[in-house]
Amino acid sequence: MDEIRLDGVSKRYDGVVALSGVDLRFATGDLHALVGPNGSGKSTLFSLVLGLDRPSAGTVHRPEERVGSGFQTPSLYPDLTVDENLRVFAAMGDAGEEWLGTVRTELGLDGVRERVVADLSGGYQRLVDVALAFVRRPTFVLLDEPLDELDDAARDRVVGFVADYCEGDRTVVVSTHHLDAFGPSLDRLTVLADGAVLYDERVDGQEEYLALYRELVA
Amino acid sequence: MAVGPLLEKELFWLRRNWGAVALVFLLAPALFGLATASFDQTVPRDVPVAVTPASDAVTDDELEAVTGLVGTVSAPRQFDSPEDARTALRRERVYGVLTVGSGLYESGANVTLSVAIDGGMVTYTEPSRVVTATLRDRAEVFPSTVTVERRVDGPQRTLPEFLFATALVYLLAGYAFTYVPYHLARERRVFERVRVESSLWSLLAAKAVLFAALGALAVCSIGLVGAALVYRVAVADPVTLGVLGLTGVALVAVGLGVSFLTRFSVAGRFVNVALLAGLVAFSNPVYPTGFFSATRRTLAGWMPVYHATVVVRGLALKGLSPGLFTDRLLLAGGFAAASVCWLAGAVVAYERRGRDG
Repeated sequence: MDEIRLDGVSKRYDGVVALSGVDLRFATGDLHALVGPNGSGKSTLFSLVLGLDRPSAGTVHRPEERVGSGFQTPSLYPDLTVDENLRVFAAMGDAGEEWLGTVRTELGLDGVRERVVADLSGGYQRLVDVALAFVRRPTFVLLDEPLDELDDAARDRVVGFVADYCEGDRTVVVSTHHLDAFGPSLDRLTVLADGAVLYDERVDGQEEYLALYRELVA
Repeated sequence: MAVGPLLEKELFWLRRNWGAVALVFLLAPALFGLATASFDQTVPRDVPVAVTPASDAVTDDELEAVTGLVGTVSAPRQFDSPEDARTALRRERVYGVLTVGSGLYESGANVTLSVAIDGGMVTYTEPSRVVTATLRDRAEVFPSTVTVERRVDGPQRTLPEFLFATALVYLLAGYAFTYVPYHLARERRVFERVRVESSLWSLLAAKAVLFAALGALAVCSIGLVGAALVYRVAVADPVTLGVLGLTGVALVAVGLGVSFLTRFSVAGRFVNVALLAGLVAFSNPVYPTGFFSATRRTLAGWMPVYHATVVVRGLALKGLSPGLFTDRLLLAGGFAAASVCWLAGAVVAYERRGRDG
């Protein structure tokens, strides 16, 4: 299967409806933004797609290959160095040493590769978390708030790396509050609010979606 | 100096953590106080001692009479044969064997009451003198001339050697309920990624290899110290190492199960510390069971760690055959299997409850 698909997915936590009847498809080769106000269900949706949780109703269809993931709270080995973290998870795939080096360089981690992760700033921990999503060179990558705590230069590096990654038949789904940062690279936009899909269309880099987004979530 | 707002913060903290506070500062102290009730005495009146006839000529009345005499300073159990009694002594089912000669009620007869203790059970050496002295005093009720002898069976060991053999098990318990849960809690942030990229089962398998190696390293370290001190404790005995390994697996599984079930919370850490404290307090690591009370003897019997310690002492300290402890070896294996199932269930529950935060 070459897509991630949610069919009628709902999720309830202790009586709270986090997602309600969501139908979505993440196709190959897209840079797909998933946006919405706080509490709209974006992280819940990611959890279901990654298999960290189960839907209360509906079905989540995943590709056979494991999906790469960047987490809202960086998920790292705190007592290992940047390089050690990258090597551990790169070894779970077969992308090779050269690709690992590319990821590390493109995301600006060469200067901190020997630093223990627990000693890094929040911004660098975020970059390591993003890097870990890509070290296996998976077909599908989900990134939850990948630009949080990053300075402008780091944001540009991440956005550029993600855009280049999607040039082939690889897909990156980004949950973000920084929609404008992804600008003309964006292929598809999905807007979630109160656990439901308000908007889900191809935008193909057009900037009109920014105004549309603000209107939808106002 | 704004102390007021910071005090208010402490009130907020108390309100948010009332459960943990109740557990640590109400329930734990109460249990601690209650635990003292299990100490009845300092004279070991409830330590099991075997009473057995020296020959077929010994009558039931004579056995009952001697059982009654020794009952005030021990918990006597009658055995039909001296061989069975000695087996029970080696297995630490009893801590002394009182062999009764015939002719107690015959005037002019010379009767011997023999008290045998295990040379490896060092902490019963002095109490056994109390038992012997009591018997000497009370044996004057018999019309015969009664000689009470005390002897030590099996190789004698020193108190340091005894404690060393016992410490092997409790060293692993210390790791299982403190360091191992701390180690995994520290890596908790990465569990989500591991679940996506691999699985928690693979993570636990890798940890099992790591901690097996570290546990072996710890046993080697303590073993080298024992060797340097010329202790007569066979730490490298394969069955001893096997029992230590099984017990270590079991205790780690229990501790990690608590950690996973409580999602590595502070409450879980306290539960593990409480389990360790309870284990040390009620597994009778040093004294014979029943030394302080019959209640503690019963509690020790329920504790798998107590049985593991007996086996380790029997094999490493006393050089006994593993066949003497088949039931306890099976118990160690069963405890390990049950504990691993407990951990597996806790991990499944952890995954089913979804993401943290």
